[in-house]
Amino acid sequence: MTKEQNKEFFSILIVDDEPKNIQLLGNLLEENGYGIEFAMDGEGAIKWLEKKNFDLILLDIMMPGMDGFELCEKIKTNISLMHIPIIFLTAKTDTEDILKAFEMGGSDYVTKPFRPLELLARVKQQVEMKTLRGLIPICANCKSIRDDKGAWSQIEAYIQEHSAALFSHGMCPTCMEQLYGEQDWFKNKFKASQ
Amino acid sequence: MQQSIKRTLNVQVGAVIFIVNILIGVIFYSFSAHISEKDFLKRIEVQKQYLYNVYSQLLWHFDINSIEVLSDMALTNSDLLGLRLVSSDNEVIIEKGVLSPESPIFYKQKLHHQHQSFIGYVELAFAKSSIKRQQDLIIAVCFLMVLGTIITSLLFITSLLNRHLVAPLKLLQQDLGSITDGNFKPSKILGQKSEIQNIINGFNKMSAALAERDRTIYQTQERYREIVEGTKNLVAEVGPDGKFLFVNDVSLEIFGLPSNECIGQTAIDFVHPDDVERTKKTISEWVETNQTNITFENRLVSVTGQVRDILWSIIIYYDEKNDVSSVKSIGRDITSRKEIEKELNSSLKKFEKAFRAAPVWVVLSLLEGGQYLEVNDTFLSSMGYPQKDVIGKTSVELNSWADEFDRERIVSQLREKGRVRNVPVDRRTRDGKILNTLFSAEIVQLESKPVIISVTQDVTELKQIERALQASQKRLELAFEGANDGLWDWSPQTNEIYFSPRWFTMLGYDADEFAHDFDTWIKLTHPKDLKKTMVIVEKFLADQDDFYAATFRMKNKDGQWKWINARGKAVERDEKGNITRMVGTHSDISELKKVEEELRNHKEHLEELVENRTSELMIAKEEADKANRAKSEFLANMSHEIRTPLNAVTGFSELLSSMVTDEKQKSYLEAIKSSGKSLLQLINDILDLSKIEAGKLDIQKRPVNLKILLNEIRQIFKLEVDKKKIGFKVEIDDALPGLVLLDEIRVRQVLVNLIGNAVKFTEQGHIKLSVKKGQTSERADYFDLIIWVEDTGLGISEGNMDLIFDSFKQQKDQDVSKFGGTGLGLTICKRLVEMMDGRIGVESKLDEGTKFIIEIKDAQAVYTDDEEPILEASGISHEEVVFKKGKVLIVDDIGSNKRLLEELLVKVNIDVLTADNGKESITVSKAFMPDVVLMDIRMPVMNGIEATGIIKNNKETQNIPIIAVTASSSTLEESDLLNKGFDGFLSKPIKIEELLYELSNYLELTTNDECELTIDEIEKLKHDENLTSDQVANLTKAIEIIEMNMMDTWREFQETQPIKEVRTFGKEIEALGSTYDVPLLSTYGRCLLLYARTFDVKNMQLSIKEFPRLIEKLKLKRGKIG
Repeated sequence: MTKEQNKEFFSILIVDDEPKNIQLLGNLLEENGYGIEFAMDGEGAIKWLEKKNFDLILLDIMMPGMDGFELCEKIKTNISLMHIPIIFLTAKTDTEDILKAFEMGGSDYVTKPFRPLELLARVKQQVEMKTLRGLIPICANCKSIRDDKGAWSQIEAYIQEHSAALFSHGMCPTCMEQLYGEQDWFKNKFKASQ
Repeated sequence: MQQSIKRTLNVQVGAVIFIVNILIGVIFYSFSAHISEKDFLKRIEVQKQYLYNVYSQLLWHFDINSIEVLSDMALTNSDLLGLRLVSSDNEVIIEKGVLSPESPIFYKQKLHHQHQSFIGYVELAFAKSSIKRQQDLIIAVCFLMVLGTIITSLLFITSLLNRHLVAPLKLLQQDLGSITDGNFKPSKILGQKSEIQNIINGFNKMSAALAERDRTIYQTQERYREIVEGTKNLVAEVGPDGKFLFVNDVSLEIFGLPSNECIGQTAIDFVHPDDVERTKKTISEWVETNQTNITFENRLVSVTGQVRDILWSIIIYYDEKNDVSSVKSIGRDITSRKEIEKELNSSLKKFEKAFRAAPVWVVLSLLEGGQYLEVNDTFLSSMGYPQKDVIGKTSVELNSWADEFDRERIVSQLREKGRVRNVPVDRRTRDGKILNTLFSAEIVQLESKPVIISVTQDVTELKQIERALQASQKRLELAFEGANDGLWDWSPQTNEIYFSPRWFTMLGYDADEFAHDFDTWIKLTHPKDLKKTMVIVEKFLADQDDFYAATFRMKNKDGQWKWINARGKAVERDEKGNITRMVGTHSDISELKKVEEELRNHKEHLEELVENRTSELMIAKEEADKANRAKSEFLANMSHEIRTPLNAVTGFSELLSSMVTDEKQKSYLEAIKSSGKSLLQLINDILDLSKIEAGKLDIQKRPVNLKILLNEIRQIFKLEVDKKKIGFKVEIDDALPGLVLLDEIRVRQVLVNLIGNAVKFTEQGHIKLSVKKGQTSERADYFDLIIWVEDTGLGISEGNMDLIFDSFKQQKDQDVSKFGGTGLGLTICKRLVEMMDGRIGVESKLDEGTKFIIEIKDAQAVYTDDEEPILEASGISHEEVVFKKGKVLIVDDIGSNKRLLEELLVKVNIDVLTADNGKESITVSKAFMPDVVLMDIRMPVMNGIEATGIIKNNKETQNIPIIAVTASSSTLEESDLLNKGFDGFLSKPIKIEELLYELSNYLELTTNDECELTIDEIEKLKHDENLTSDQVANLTKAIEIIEMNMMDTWREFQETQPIKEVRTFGKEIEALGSTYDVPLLSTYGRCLLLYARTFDVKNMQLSIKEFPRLIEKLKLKRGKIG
């Protein structure tokens, strides 16, 4: 599965009170294959978050009414939303805001006016990073993981699908014992040496 | 002036005599005068009576002559001054002499005849002159008498005196003189009158007494003198004027003056200048309060400058007026005492200081009661009290004992033994901190009271260190425990080793089962390892190295050997550097050793095997390569030789074909030509392959415009494809740079080959050629180029998949007659791709199609100023972005670049100005004041950086934003550019969205004005036309549909506006509008769609909000018409 194809599944919520920003971001991100929704204030964003699962939120800090930080706090304290990464959109000079953004649980920030390529890179980074975090439902016994569609998959398959990690296969002594414990060669080779 | 007693006596006696005589004279005189006056008056009385009688007689007779004669006669009497005789009828009968009632004696007497009849009166004036004369005479007599008496008396007395008084006195005087001279001899005057004799006796007695006293005085004086002179003290007397009256030798010595110079000097001059004021002040104070006896201390300075401390006893004498009459003083030289005192003082101070500053607490307190008498500063600072809060208080009052019993315990111990030493007690400071201290004390007697003198040492820090030490020790122990290591501590000199319990237990022994010495180790160590290890140990002991490590086996309790890794460190050395103590650990590494051993066995075996095989293979490969090269070389030569005549064949047949007109001949010629071509193709293929295999083919990379290349290829196959009626799609990734460094000929060769195959084997469906940018390399501008060639043709069976790339192999059971070919094509493709650092793969399914994938690694994007395209094709539909009118100056020396940008910018409503170089750009900027300048960097005449500097330095043009257009291969960084005055930058090739984005920072953006949908426009539409009945029906239908199906969707938009749903909504409305011919709807739908598509959320939301009104308008319209 290539990344280009993947993007269609990634939906991004843009929260900004400036229509021009939404226009730019929306065009740019949709052009690059992301599903886009927008909200022009905090309340609108919350309505969206109640309705739909997002993979990323682009959040403007300066907004009338509920500002970006407040919204971020709401999201980060909500157990069902806290896993969604947030990229803050900030004015370039606000170092304090940037620090606060990270403090509030923001995953990244982009300074305005942003460069399209940089924004894309950051979005991509967050979306890809997103794949292995948040609450992962795991079977207490067989350690299978339930994916978004409700299917239970092996932990190995799940990790491989949701991250860039690769596996190198070996076997731990306990399992070896379980599997080959009765075999003569195993007894000879390992038991003797133990 | 001393008067001689004689004269004094003379005068005195004279005076007495004189006075006595005077007195006698006066008495005599008074007596005489009295007598004479009585006499006189008697006389006058007589005269008077006489005259009366006479006159009365005469008058009676009136004998004037007689009267006259009598009067004259009377008047001759000197006493009578005048007379008047007046008759009874007041007739002056006679008046003679001076007559006035003022005369000293005046009488007026009536004259009677026979005492009966009055016949007149007589007035008589008498003078006193006669009595005066008499008196004067008496005085004179008296005087003379007195005088004579006086002289006689005097003479007598003088001689008397002389004889009886003056002469002995004179002698006495002489005797006195001799007494005065110190000659105490008795007077020799004898036989005198008793008084004088008495005097002389008295004198003699006195002289004797005086002589006695003089002797005594002399003795006393001598004694005092001896004392004064012999004393070491200063003795001096000072007069009220402050000048010395007397000084003794000691004083002189101290003053440094000879005695004759000292008297008369001012005493205060010798006082030390620093003490002068004090001395003066003190003395004046004494004098004021009339003190007499004082002791006082000051310093004196000798003439030579020596300073002495003197303690004075001073007696001040006052006269009756309370003024100072003299000052007598005795001074003791206390210089040396002072010095000692000073020394004593300083040593006392030292002790005081030592007491105060001692780094331990020194405390004096009463044994009974426990009040603090004295504490030192350390105590105060440690405990945090000011001195005043401590002195007089008890430690209990200060609550300074962490444990109250400590004090009782210590005090009772003190009472018992008189002293305590280093008792650890905890004390509490003022702010409640607990200090660990060591307390020592002793009872001493101070002013007959038992006093505790205590010295307390604050060991809190020490305790902390101790605790930290203990903790770290504990930690170490735990660490060892955790590591399961045994510990040893060896002193090589004594051969003693401490082994920790674990040291034993790890070998299965009980702790301390063996003696703690070196021999235990020797005994337990494997004999084979012992020697080797001993070498290490000895070497270690001899070297200066601090760390020691050795591995050896040791005997287990059950007789087996365990591998032990010993590590250690020298921790103590003597002065020669020899190790005196080393400490280390034992770790059981038996398991490790075992694994290691196994691994080594495996490895050794494997290595051997691999080595053998490799060398065999190498030989085989070399031989094969050699043979293959020989073959290829032969083929290459061969092919060339064949091609030369073949060229002639094809060339001439080509020439001929234009000459030949006969159809038959023409068809023959065609056959020759195509066979020739086939042959040539075959030869070329062989030649290529041979060249490749012979290593003679080079890859020559040049910048390739992929788009052009692909277009060419499409052109090549266009006819063929069209003929076969199959589709041919060419897709090119927008992310690809315009120019890529490739060997164009070889790429084309591969693609032609692959597509040729595809066309050949595809009868229906399509062929698709796509080029994409793959993974980007770490190096800038490098990326993977991926090319797909897909077809929907025959496909390749699984069995043949492995064969297709082999030389001269065609798919089995491939109909050669039908498809022809040499079977070299794919082989060459594979080789060529590999030579271009790529690989080729194939995916295929029989009867479904084949897909060749070529991946060329690290293709390099090229940007050159001359050749690169200035703009890149972009997916973004820039038609939707429109600027409000603006002026942009494009500065570039290459015409095509300018044209391209110009075309694009004109499309987005921008006026374009152009300049060919930096210099021109300055002129144009000034003349036309563009809104933005797009500035190329590298240009002739003047480059972009220089021009920008000039434009930015000109007041008129400095506010024009300038965007740098640079090749991304350029070394200029963004920050460099921004520092040089640029406002932004774009790198070539310029991407349209980036260009528009950058421009949008400076130029105002409007959306496509095609969709300025406002309610006004709707209003306008309202009146535009009359609707036909059909239209009304349609409109009704449309409204119905909207109200039935669309309003729900619209309501959902109140909360959130999902972009895709809005788009769908717009699309549906547009469709509805066109279906039912309601232009208002279709316009609305189109606009909404456009807004949603371009994320123009502002207008999108506005439009959504307007929707109900739109419907209302439509209803109105319908209603009005209907």
